[in-house]
Amino acid sequence: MSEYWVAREGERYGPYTQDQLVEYYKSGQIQPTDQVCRPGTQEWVVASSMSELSDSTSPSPPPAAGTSKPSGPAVVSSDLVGPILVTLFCCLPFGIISIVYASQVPAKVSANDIEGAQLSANLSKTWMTWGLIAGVVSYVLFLAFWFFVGFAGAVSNSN
Amino acid sequence: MVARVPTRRRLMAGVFVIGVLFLFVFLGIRHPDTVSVAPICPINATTGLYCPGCGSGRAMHHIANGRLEAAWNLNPMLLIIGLPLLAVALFSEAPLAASGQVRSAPAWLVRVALVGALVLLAWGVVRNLPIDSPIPLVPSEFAESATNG
Repeated sequence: MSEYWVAREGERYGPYTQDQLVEYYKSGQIQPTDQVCRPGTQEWVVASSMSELSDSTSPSPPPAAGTSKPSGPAVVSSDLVGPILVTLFCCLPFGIISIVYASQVPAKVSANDIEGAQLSANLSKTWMTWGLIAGVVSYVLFLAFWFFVGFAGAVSNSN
Repeated sequence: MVARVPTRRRLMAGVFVIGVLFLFVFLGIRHPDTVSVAPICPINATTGLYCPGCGSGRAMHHIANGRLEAAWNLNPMLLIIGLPLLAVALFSEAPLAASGQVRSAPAWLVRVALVGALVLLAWGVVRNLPIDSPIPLVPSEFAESATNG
């Protein structure tokens, strides 16, 4: 019914209910500097300026409050599109490493190790990116080489 | 109703899905061997070895034209592992990534993907061994005429 969306560094998270939003804000998973979009609006506002959050506010610094983070949808995302793509099309070993790191995310999230989950998700993304780059670069190099050899062959044939 | 943020993930997911579908249609129309700029496998061209994906381009051509047996003879692991993984990425993971929802892929699915990827790696070794095998190891176009005929 009521859908709040959160944006941070170009990534969008959600939808959340107002209760979830407040909960995550309290726990520090949603930062005061994050952008939030209210239900039914197109407008993004800074979290710290929202009346919904001002009551619950001054997010008690998470390290101090610490103990009980909500185990709901934590702000860690990892999906398998990139790793599978790299595995099948680019660079199998890099894809495997990427999948191994992605496999650590769900366990760490359910253990409330949000930081560790984020780290694993980032490493998964890093290896996926390098796999993509390695795949594309080696392929372009090979094609260039192939065209060159083909061209040289055509020239020597015509002579 | 909900404001849309253009995210990098959505863009990448879209490019991926469209790219794969385009490739599938293209390979369905043209047999890779008939395309002059066809991607010739660098590994096979330089070393003579068969990589885990060797035969996939030709196999996709046959799959797009309904000849599963011909595809099987070129690269059985494409049917057993490659395509299922690709389907998961295309029809399940990519739409979810594009939806912008915060989620991590379910643990069992990641495990399945990992096992699949490791089997593919082993496949790359096994298919170069001079052994007898119940499934075709080396890509073979031979069965194409058999299924056509």
